[in-house]
Amino acid sequence: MKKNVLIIGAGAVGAVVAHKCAQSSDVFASVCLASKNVAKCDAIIDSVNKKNYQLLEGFKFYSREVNAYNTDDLVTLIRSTETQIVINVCTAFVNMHILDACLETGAAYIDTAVHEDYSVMNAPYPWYANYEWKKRELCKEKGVTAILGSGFDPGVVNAYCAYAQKYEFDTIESIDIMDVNDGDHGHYFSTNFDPEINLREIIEDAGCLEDGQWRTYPHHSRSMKYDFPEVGEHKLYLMGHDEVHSLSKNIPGVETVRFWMGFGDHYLKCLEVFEKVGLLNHETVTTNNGEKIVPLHTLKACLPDPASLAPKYKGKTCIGTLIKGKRNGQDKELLIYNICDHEETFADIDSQAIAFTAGVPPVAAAKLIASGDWDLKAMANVEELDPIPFFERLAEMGISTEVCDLSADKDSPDNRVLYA
Amino acid sequence: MKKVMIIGAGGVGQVVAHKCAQLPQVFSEIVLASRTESKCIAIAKQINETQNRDISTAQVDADNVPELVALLNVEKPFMVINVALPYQDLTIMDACLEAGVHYMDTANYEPLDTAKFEYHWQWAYQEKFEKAGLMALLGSGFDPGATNMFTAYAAKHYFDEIQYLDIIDVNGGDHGYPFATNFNPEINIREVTAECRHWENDEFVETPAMSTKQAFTCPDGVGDFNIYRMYHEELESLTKHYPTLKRAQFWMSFGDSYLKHLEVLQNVGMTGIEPIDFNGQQIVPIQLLAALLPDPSTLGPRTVGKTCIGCVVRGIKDGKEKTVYVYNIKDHQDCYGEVKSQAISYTTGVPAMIGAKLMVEGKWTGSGVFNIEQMDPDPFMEDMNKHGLPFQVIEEPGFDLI
Repeated sequence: MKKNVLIIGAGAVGAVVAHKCAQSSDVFASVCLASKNVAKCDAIIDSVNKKNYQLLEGFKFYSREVNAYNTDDLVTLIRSTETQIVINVCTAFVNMHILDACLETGAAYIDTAVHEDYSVMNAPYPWYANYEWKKRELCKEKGVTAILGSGFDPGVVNAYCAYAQKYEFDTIESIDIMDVNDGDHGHYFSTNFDPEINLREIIEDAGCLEDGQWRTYPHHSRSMKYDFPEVGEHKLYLMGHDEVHSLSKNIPGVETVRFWMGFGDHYLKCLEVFEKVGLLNHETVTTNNGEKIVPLHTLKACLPDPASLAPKYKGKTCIGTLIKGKRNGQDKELLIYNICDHEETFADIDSQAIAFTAGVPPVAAAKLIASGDWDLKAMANVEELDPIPFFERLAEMGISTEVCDLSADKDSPDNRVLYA
Repeated sequence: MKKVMIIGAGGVGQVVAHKCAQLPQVFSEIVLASRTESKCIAIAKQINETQNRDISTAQVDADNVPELVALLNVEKPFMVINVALPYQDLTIMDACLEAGVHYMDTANYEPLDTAKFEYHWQWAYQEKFEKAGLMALLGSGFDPGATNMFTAYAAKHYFDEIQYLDIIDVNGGDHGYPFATNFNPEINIREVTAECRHWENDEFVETPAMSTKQAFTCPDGVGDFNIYRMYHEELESLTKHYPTLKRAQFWMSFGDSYLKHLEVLQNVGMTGIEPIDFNGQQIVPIQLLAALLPDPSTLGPRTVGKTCIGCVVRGIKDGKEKTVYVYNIKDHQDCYGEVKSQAISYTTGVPAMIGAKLMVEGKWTGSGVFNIEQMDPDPFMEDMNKHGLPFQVIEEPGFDLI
């Protein structure tokens, strides 16, 4: 039986999910795209219709308006659309409302980012324990499948760790997730996804697990350089990120889990100015004429819409996981990674690579729930699931998996394509 | 002894009021008027506390000529010291003509919609003031104002002919904030984004904004600064009144952090004056920015360091080429201690008081519209020394300027 899918969120990632679901009418019977702004959904549906995908007969693709902060509305929407799988690519502030609606209706739940409380910066560690994991027992009791953090990072990078643990290592000691965008969007400054979420997360404390201890550092206070396949050397900064908070629990024996993101000097200059002037403040201020304004909202309104970046974007992203540990008593070091080209993703589905790499994996997860591979009737983070069928679905949709063995000789590493 | 009316109760108005109040033998009565009378009352209270002298206050809309005339007819001052907004110069000049009152200002008229910095609107009043037997003195702040006087003083005492002029305005003050503006941020931003003009070979030459800079070491240990060439209004009147000038340039110091903030904020659109939409809410970015940045009036107590503003004049004396630097250095904290204001307002307000003083004393007289360099610089320079802005002269300073 083909499944009915409900996508919640019509931003740049929502557009990728919509396109990839439409390319998968062999698996999905219908796709409903819902957002508080139904015009954005309709614009995405128009862009899908212009692409001439081979849609199978009977496939339905339509829009609905929904307030994702209202669980009752969500329940009504899930029921009226006869949805079996919900893909949540909305703002991270609404996760728990959508998960609650899935628990009430029995629909499967997929998201790509951990829940955030609007008023809380630097939430306690591990982040998943604050909200999602509290519903773990309830998911199991009700037999509801909930796959957390199934984007690229978190998501695919977690699957890299599962693969390493299962097939490549006896013990894993450290995990360094590294995310660089070597692309150029041509704007003075832009974030690649929702500035409200992005600019908040990058000025939070950089939290990581090191030597078995949680540690925090001021944002952008620790950096390193890494020479990546294809995109070359980049400066990376330690930063807090969702996957650190589940891998630290789910990879047995791991002592160190860190997340690093590449930032250019120009980006950091802009960020410093925004922060010092107070534009990243998410609390209301009052202007001289008595108007109430949230500075971060004004900045967001000034910045380019991330969904508009795709046509001019050039260059590639490289996101990977550097894993160190032991195999047969020997030291082992692997980089498992993906390279994604902004122009190729635009040619495929009119999107830039950052939205593409975030939006394809939840569709792969939805396919695996539909096929039964990942329909575990319980809650899981991606590293708790079988990575092989995930890599296969990703490869079918344009995301390859490559491995670079750095154990023997770092200057001439053994590079192989796992899935393409 | 005469009665004067100060219009404008911002940072400069505050300094002018304090400084005029210090000279009761010149300014026998002072009226401070503004759209917001509460600001005038606050300044009057400060003056009462620091000098034990009373000044009177009034409410007036400086855009409204009949309202201005009515107030002038009631108060009957000898002259108006206009330190309101530059947009209001012409309405105040009209009111002075109608009420028969002399006029003085510190910045040239600008239309609301364009930042032009041109004197022609005010020069057009020449005949009217001449016929009325009234004097209008334009640009009696620091720059324009003191810089014009420094040029005139050098020309009078050190040269037969002046040929090259570089006006250099350095603010070495540090308020300790990552970013703040001394005036309205909008005006600051217009200043650094306006096309540069300088006088060379009988015409104004345009170059891109902030495209020419050089290092400058101020005398007396004030420090090293990057100065950027930009247009400033005194270039127009000085090149008119000193036709022997082959080149005249204006330079201003800007810190790297200041320029970095302006560049980023402007490029992302945070300085925009048109409303933008966020989920149905209409927001004017510059208004948010003004709310986030420190209030310029709070910078005074925390600003340390000095201003150094002067003129490098090159020309001919007795057939030989020579260079003279005339300048003033002022400490921010000294200004705050004296008149509860930082040096930027102080250095504008003191020359305004001096210009008014010389008119009141009859040392500067005339019927018509005058730029300040048309007046005798000597009594002005003498008063600069007496009233808080002493000047220095260095002959052959040895600067290596481009």
